[in-house]
Amino acid sequence: MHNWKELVRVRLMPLPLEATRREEIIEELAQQLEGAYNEAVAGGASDSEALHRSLAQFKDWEDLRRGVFRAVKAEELPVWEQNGILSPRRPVVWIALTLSCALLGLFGFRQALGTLSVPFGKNPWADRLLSSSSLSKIERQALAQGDSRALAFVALHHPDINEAAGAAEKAIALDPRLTWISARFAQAHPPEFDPASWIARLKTWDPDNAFPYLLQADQAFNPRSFGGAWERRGARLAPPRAIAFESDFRLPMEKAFAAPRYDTYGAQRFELDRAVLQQQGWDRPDLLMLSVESQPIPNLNAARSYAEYLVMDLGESAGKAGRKEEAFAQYQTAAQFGARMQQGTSLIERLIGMTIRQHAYEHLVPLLRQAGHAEEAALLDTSLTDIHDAFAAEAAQRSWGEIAAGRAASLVFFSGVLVVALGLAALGWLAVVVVLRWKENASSLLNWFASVARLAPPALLLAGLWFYSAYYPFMRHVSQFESGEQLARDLLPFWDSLAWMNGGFGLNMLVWPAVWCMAVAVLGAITLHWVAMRRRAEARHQE
Amino acid sequence: MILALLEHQARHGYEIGKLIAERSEGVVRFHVASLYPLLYRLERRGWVRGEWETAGGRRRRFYRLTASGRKTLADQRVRWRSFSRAVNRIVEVRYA
Repeated sequence: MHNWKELVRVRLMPLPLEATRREEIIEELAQQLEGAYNEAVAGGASDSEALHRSLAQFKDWEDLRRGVFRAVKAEELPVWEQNGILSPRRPVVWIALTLSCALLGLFGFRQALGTLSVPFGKNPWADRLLSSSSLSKIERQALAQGDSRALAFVALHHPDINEAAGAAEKAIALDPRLTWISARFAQAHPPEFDPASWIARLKTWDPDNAFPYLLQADQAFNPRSFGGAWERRGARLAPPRAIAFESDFRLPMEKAFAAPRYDTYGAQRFELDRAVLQQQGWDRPDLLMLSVESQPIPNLNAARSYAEYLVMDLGESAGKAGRKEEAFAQYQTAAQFGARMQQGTSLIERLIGMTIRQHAYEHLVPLLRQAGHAEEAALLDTSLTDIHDAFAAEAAQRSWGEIAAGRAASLVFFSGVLVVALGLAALGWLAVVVVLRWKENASSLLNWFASVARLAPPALLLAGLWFYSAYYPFMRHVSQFESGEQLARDLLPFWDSLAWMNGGFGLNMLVWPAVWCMAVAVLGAITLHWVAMRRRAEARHQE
Repeated sequence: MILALLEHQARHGYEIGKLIAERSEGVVRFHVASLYPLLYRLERRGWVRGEWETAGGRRRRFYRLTASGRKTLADQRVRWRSFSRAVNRIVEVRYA
């Protein structure tokens, strides 16, 4: 004879109900078991078979326990009384939470979390880490320590150009080799800031470099002077080339194209940014890349316009007039400048440099053939083919790289958003569980939340692992990058895609509407719950 | 269904489970594990009332309909008939 009540009691306890009600429920369920057992025995089943069939009616006793409690009390079983695998009484959930927290100890995971500021932030480089206050703090420390590099870093990144100029003066005074930072101020426009003295300083310090002259020419290549030049020349020339007839633009351009070097100080800037970021403990390739991206480069459209002026206006005119040597010299000047620009640190400089070379070679080749220099013409033809191949290779590499990086960025973005959401839910669960441990009957709403959110810690662990593995291929220390070019090649498509997520989905604009919607939904749910409770109370009263 | 089974006489949980299986000829599968929480919920809502009674020499908890339960059953029947008629009109249409 089986003790059915004991069988039920062992499986259903603890059941925090009033003792009489609890015993009634145990007795009723025991009768159900006994009835099924007797029926099976009457059907010819053995004792063990009948017992098995009887118990099989209730496969999940924990589910039954929770269901019974919910039905009787109209609320969830107290979270600390639950016995499910995700109950706080079980170690699984705490292990999951601990492992989730342990993920924060991984450098790659922390770096991956940092990436989330890129799609959500307006301009994380300027707004967050490199705010005016943080840069002013770096400046104070640098002045105290006589750290010229940190001062130069402030000069390059301070959002207030006058503050930046002050830091630049101090940095250059400490170490004149840092004069190249003057380039940052050379692209400002009067009357807010007069760049003339900075350009002059740069030209004096680095007279063989085309860069300061290009910056000087840029000052003349602004819409006002450009418009005036175009009007004066009428519509005879394409607008950009018209500016080349203005001496303010042409004279510095002549010097730029004649200069033996083309250096926008990308390498120096990269090394300085990398060193200071490491010094400040910001091991963030995204910040380093934003620095590389914000590096001033000359107006390449202006340089290309001047090259077209050399080739199409001066060179072609000289060629038509029979002054072949003069035409050759103009084409050669443009081609050599293009070759120098092609050595620049950014992709756009390489592409524009190749375009200028290509254009000049296309004019040089027939000229050389006419002059009987077939071998030299053939050599340039080969160079032209190389340029075509380089364009195609660049396009193919970018195309494949962008597709792969875009997919990877989607995974990182969505898993990251999931980690943040589940992280908040897990934190909420932890707080509520602690409160309920301290005061079991604190609130049925809190108990409901703890019951529902019990999935958050294990889900957080899974999402965290997904997030980490999605970001893993892009995990780097800033010290692992040797140049801005390498950084851009390895990470730029990924970061561009990640930043696009923000624009593409408009998530930054959706944050506050989402918060409002949630608030309205919560208020609505509370109101509906209140109305339902009231109607039930009225129904009972009528009964 | 449970309210309908209790319309004319009080029944205990085991009997209710058996009746559902028998009357639906096995078509409606009603898991016993969800029967009791459902009965307790109906009781909490005031639609049924459970009382311990002795029948056949043993104590059992019998459930019977309350006035509120009877009214709910009537409402639900009207809705069910209207719904089943609508479905029948759709599925029983013959096209010439």
